[in-house]
Amino acid sequence: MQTEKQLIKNCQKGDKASQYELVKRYSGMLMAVCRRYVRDEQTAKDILQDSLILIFGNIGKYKPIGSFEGWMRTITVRCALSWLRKNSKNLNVVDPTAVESVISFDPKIYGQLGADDIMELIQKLPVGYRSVFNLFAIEGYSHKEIGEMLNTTEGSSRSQFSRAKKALQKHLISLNQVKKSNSI
Amino acid sequence: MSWSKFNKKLNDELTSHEVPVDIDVIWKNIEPQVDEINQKNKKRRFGFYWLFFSGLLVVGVGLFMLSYTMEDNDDKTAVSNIKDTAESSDKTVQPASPVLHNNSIDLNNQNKTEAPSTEKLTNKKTSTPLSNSKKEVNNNNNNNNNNNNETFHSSTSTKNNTSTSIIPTQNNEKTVKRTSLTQGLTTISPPTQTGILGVPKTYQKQVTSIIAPPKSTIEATKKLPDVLGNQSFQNTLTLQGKQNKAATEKIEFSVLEDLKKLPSLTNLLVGKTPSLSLLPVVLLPTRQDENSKKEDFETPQRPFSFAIGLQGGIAFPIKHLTDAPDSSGVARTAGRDSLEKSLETQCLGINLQLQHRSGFNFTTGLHRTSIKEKMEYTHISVNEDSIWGLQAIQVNLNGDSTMIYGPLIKTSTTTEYRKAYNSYTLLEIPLLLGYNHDLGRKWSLGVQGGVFANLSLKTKGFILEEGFQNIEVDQQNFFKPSIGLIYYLGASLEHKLNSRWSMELSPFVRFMPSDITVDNYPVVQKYTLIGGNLGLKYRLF
Repeated sequence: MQTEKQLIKNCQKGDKASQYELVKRYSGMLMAVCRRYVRDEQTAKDILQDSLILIFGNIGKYKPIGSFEGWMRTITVRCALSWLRKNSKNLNVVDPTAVESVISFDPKIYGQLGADDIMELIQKLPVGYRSVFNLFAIEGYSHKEIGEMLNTTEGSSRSQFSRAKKALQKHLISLNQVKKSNSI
Repeated sequence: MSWSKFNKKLNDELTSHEVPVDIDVIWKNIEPQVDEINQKNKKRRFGFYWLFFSGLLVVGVGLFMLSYTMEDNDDKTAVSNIKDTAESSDKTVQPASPVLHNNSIDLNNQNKTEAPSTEKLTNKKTSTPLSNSKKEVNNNNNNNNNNNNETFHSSTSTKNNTSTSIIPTQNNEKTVKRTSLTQGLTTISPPTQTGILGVPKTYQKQVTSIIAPPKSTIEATKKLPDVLGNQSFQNTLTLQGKQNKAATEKIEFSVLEDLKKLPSLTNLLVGKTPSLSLLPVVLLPTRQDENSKKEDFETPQRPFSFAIGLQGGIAFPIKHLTDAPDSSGVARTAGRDSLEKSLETQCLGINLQLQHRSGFNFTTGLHRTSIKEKMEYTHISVNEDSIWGLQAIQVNLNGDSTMIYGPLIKTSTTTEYRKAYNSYTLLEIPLLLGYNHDLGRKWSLGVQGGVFANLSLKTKGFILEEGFQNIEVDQQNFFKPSIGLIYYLGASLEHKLNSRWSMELSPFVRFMPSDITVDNYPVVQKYTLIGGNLGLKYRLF
């Protein structure tokens, strides 16, 4: 099995076996990134494919300064955002129905959650919230960077993130209730 | 519960989270595009190597030509000078054609046949002051005074590495041998910068390396008229045997009167033996006659010359934006066309030029062209936000009112006037063929045509995407990484500053036959550049 370094080098040379190996090794992780941004599985697959093509097209420019996974993740995120910009008109729209209350996350509620449950929760968020939430809480971008990426302001990003958290809490509570009723 | 713990849980769960995907389906879908990318990269690599090796080849050929022409020129000059010398004496003494063997000259004084090149010399130089120059070598005393193995040398003792000697060969032939004659360049004082006897500098080294005596033999520098007025030096150079002092060799000259006519020769070195022993090269003024008019601007008559140049300039781009044949990007094309304005284009490059003496030349090098543009547009963004406020007032039948508070939607519209500067930077290798025609001594006019092989295209800035949304171009794959060949047609006006340096003004037209945007982008973008470069050129040889 090739090391990551060998794999990158061979992909840069245009070795198809290595390119297939890269797809095989990282598609699951990149698909998870795509699914966090778009609900629809088929759309996520399309974004994944676009991302992979971009990755192969630009792998010659990759410099081993940061992690390779991080580099691929960045490309995938940008691809997903690009798709959202083109296809979602309400990317920057604030959901007025968001609950205005003090945010508290009870570990009794979320402690039992697995990755799939969290994914489901995130996917329930409106597209604008979801993007900001993913970028800030999971990818680690600052609100300023998010503002630039989404062509909005830093304040708007903060506001959306705050609302995303509230909405997430709401969904978390309702998910917990569903689980309880199911167990009864 | 705090958000940070929940956030940590999120990161723990999601960082390593994977969603199962059907790899084969994904691979099957992207495989054709991956193949395309691989082919493009392969082509780019091949192109790079091809250009690299062709550049290397040009430099190699240039260096070979340099060494070849320098060697050739050294030999030719030496042979030519000495031949001329011998030829000049043909009419009276009829020495055999001198043969150069490792910087030595064999003068066969026994052979009375006329040197074949005499006629050529006479015909060619009838108008020169020295056209009738003759050098007589008196061989009459030879048979009496020298032994077969006797070595002769000039009566000046040659202490250093320079010697002039007559070496009788076994069949009683005498050889004038000169070895390692490298001294004395500074001891002759020509009045001008053109060099000894008015010969251009390029010849001076070679001439002086043959004729100059060692410094140790120099006693004084005398005015030519003084030297020529001295009877003891008149028309005769006496060479004496090194061991057999009685063995002497006299060489007579009838060229001294002609020497007086040389305007550039005012001083002559006088050693123990008069430096007129240098007179075997007095035919050099015939070269002076040929070349004196050309002075320092003369290009040596080598088959090839090699020059390196630096040039920079500006151009005005004419931008062609059209709809791609199978697209519906009319609105976008029109939008971009109306908002984007071309600014100046900067050109900077290094040239390597190999030129044949016929005037034909080949130019390559490395050029960087940066096309600048400005985009101005009005950006309107609509933001919706919710604020807490009074939603309604309910009034019951008693007239009591109840305020109902809740989130209110607030819409804000922002209009911004935006300005963006875009740049398209091209790195290119010119491959140009041209012809230069001399207009007098200092000026030349040339034409050049060929291609610029584009190595890379880098873009920076913003363009309008569909729906008039600005998109950062360096994050999008709208543009090709390289655009192949660009046609070039240009002229050049060259002014020679001296024999090495020249200044060049070259107006040009460059046309991009291929689209700089990718195939699936709905707008075709091409440029024609009209501009001019100003540069300095240095001729290496």
